[in-house]
Amino acid sequence: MGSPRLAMVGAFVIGGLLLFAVGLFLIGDRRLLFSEQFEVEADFGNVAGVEIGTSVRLSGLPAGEVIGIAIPGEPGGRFVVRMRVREDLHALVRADSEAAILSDGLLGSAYIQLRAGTGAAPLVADGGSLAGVDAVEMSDLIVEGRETFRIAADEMTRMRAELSATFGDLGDTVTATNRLLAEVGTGVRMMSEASADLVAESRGLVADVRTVMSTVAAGQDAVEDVLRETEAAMGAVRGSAQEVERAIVRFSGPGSVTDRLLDDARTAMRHAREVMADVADNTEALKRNWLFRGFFAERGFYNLDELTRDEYRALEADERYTVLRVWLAADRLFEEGGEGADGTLMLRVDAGRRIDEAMGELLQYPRTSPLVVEGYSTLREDGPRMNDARRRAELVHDHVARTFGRPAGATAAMPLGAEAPDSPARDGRWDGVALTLFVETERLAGTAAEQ
Amino acid sequence: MSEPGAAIRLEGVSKAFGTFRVLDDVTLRIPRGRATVVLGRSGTGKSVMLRHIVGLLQPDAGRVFVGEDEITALPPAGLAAVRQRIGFLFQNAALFDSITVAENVAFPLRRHTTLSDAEIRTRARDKLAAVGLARAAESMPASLSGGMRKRAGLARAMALDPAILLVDEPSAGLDPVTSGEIDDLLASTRQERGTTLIVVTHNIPSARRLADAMLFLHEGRVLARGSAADLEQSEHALVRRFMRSEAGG
Amino acid sequence: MRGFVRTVIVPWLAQGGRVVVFAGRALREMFRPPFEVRETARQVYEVGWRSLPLIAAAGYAVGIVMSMHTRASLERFGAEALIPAALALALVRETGPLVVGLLVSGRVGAGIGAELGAMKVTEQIDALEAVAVDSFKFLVVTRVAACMLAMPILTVVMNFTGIVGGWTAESAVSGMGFESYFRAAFSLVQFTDYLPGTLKTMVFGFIIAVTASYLGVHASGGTQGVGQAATRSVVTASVLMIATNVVLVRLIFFVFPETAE
Repeated sequence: MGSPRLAMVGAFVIGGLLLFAVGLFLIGDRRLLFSEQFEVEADFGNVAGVEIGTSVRLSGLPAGEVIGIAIPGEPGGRFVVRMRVREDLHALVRADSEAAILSDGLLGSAYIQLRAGTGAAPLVADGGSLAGVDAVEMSDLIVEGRETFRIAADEMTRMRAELSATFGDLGDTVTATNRLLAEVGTGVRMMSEASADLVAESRGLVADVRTVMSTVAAGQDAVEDVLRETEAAMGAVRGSAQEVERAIVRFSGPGSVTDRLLDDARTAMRHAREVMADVADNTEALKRNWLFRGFFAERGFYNLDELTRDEYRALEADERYTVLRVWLAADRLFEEGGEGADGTLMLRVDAGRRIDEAMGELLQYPRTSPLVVEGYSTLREDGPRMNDARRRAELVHDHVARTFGRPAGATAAMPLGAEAPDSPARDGRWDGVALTLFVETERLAGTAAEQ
Repeated sequence: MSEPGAAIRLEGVSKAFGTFRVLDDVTLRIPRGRATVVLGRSGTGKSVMLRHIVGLLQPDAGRVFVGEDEITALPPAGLAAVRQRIGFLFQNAALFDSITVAENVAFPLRRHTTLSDAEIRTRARDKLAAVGLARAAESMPASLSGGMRKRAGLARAMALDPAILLVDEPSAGLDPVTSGEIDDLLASTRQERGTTLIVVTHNIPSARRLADAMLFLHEGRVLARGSAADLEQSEHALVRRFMRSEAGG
Repeated sequence: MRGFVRTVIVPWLAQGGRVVVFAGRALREMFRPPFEVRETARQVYEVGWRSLPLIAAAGYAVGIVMSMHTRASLERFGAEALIPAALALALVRETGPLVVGLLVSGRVGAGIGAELGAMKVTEQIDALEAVAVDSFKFLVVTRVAACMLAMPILTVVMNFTGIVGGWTAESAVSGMGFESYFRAAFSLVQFTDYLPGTLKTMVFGFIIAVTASYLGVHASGGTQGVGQAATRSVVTASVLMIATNVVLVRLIFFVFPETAE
C-alpha cells in the first residue's frame, strides 16, 4: 500500500465528507440553521398541507419554515402554526401582517405566505403572533364554482325559454349560451361591461322602435319610410342579440360577478324582448295587411302569388277595410289575338274607355287605397281557367297602372277563377274582371259623409 | 509421558470429515532438529495431520503439543504465538497473489516484528537470495513458475526463522530436477539452522534425500515408522511396495 | 415431505444461521482491537476510489434520464419548476442509495467473492492463518468496514453527479443556471430525507461485504467454485439488499414520520 494510494483514499474520504457536508449545508441554509432568526405564530382553522418544515415566504421571498403546529384543545379551535423567520426580514413583519396558507400551483406543496405589514404598525416581537387567513382550498373552490354554474345554468335555461318565445335569432343565442355552460372560460369583467352597454343600447332601441311604431300607427303617408325604419330597428335588435351572444360566450367566473352579470344579461334580454314583441306585433299586423304585398314581396316576407284564393277571400272579411267592386264582362273588354297557338288574349280597342269609365266610379276614394284587379273566367278546365283569369286581370291591371299612375304597391292583379259570389250574374259566377278597391272603413265613412 | 526433545507430539488425535475418518487415534512424536518425512498414499490424512500441528484444523479428539504448548487448548493469542514459531510451506506455495514476492516474504515480518521498513526489506531480500530468487523479488506471484513459487513460499515460511518447518508435498507439480533443488534447499536449511523439518510427501526419492526418520500413514493410522531401511523391511507389504517404487510426483 | 424438510429446508436454514453468525462476528470483530488499518485503507481504495468513475458516470446518466422523465410528467401539470426538487428528492431518498447499492454489489460484491474464493481454494487463507494472522479480521472485517465507509460517500457522489446530470438535461431545454438549479434541487430535501437516505447505505455496504465474504471464504471446488462464489455474491447481496431496503424504509418512516409523505 504505497503513499499515492493512501492519498487517494484520503482524498476519497475527505472529498466524500465535504460533499456530504455541502448537502447538509444546503439543507441547513434553507432551514436557517446558520443565520439569525426570530419566531412568530399564526392561527388557522385548517392547516391542510402544512407540516413541520413547510417553507415560509414573505412577499414571495424564502423566509423560513414551520417549526411547530399546536393542535387546538377542543373542536372548533384554531391550529397555531409556529414559524421561524429570517431576522433580516423582521422589519417587514408588522402587527398588521397576515399569514396565509397557499399552494404552488395545482400540484405544488403548501407554503405559508406572510404579507409585509405597513410602516405604521409596530414590529412583531420574537414569539409574537400574526393574523392567519384561512386557506381557500381548491376543492372548496370547485364546489363553490359548481354551485355558481348550476345557478347560472338554471338562469340560462329560464332565459332560453323566454327568448325562444320571442325571436329565432335569440334562439341561436341560447344555443350559444348552452354551449357556453359546458365550457367555462374567462373574462367576466368584459362580459359585465358589455352587458351594461347592451342594457343602455337596448333601452335606446326600445324608445326608437316605439317611436317608429307610433309613426306607423299615425298614418300611412310615409309608410315606406316607416317600414324601412322598422327594418333598421329590427336589424339593430338582431345585432344586439348577437352582441348578447358574444358577451355570453366570454362569460365566466366567481359568484359575485356572475350574479350582477346575470342581472345585466336578464335586463338586456327583457329590453330586447320588449322590442321584439313590439316589432313582431306590428310587423305581423303589417304582414297580414296584404295590401303592402309589393313591399313585402320585395323583401321576401310576403308574396301575393303565394296567397291562395281562400286566403285572399279571407282578407275581404277584414273589417278595417270596405270592399268596393266594379264588374266588367269579358266580352266587352277582350278579343282573341290572331297569332299564337294558345290564342294570345288582348284588350279590345274600346276596352280602355270602358275601364276608364269603371275607374271613374272609384276615383272619389283615397288614392292610396289598394286596388286589386280580380280576374274571372268560366272555362271548364282548371288550368286554362286560372290562366285565363290571370291574363285578364293582368291586362286590366297594366292598363290601370299605366293610365292612372297608382302608387307603387297599391295596385295588384289577382286571378280568382270562376266563383264570384257578389257578381251581377245570377249563378254566382263571373266571366271577366272586377276592379276592387279596399277603402279603409273609417275614411269611407268620412268620404260618404261628404257626399 | 512426554519425552524431552520432542518438537511436536500428537496424542490420540482423531479427525473425521463427515463420515470419513481421516485420522484415527494417531499418536506420534516428532524429534527436535530432525527431518521427519510423512509418507502415505494420497488422501491418507498426511496434509490433515500437518494442519493440525499449526491449528488450521482442530481434532475431534486427542491433543496436539508443539513444544510444551498444547495448541488444542490455547486461546487465539497463544495460538498465534505458537504459529510464529512454525513455518508452513503449502503444496502450491499459497503466495498472496495481490502483493509482490518480496512483500510476501516481508509479510510475516511486518506483522510480527518491530523492525523498520528498511530492515524488513533487507531481511526479505536476504531470504529470497537464500532460495535464489533475488531477481524475482519485485515480480507478482502469478508471473512465477511452479518451482520459483515454491522457493518464494519457502522464503516466506522461513522469514521469521521458525524452529519448525512444515512442508506439504514439496515435489508436487514439479519436474524431478526442480524438485531436487527444493529438497536441497530444505536440507541445507535444516542443517544450517537446526530446524525441525516435517515433510509430507509420496515422492520416495525426495523422502530418501531428506529423511532422518519416516512415518507411514495408512487409513488414518501410523502403519510404520523408522528409518528408510526400517520401512523397507516393514512387516506390511504395502509399505515395502511403496518404498520400492521410485515414482515421483 | 419430511425428506424435503430434512434435505432442503433444514440445510437452507442452517446456511442462513451460519451467515447470521458470520455477520455477527464481523460486526463484533470490527470494534475489537487490533484494527487492520492499513488493510482497511487498501480496501477503501479498492471499493471506494476505484468505484468512483463507475458511480459518477452512472449517477450522471441516471440524472439525465430521471430529469427527462420527471419533465415529461410534470410538464403536463405546468409544474416544471418542481423538476430539480423532484429529481433531487427521488435521488436522495431512494434512487441514489439503491443504484449505488446495486452497482457496488455488482462490482465489489463480485470482486470480494472472487478474491476471497480464490484465496480460499489456493490456500492463501490458510497461509495467512499459518503466519499467525487472524484471517477473518484481516480479510473479512477490513472489507466490511471499507464497504460501510465507502457506500455513503459513493452515494453522496451519486446524488451530486445525478443532480449535475439533471441540470445538464434541464439546461439543454430551459437554459437554467447551475447554481439556481442546485438550490432548487435542495429546496424540498429535508435532513430527514438526506441523513437516513445516505446513512442507510452503510447497511447496504455491510450486507454486500458480509454476503460476498461469506460466500468467498466458504468457496470450494477450485476455479469453478471461485466463479460460483462471485456470481452468488452478486445475486444474494442484491436480493438481500433490496429486501433490507424495504424494512429500512419502513423503519425510517417509523423513526422519522415526517418523511412518509
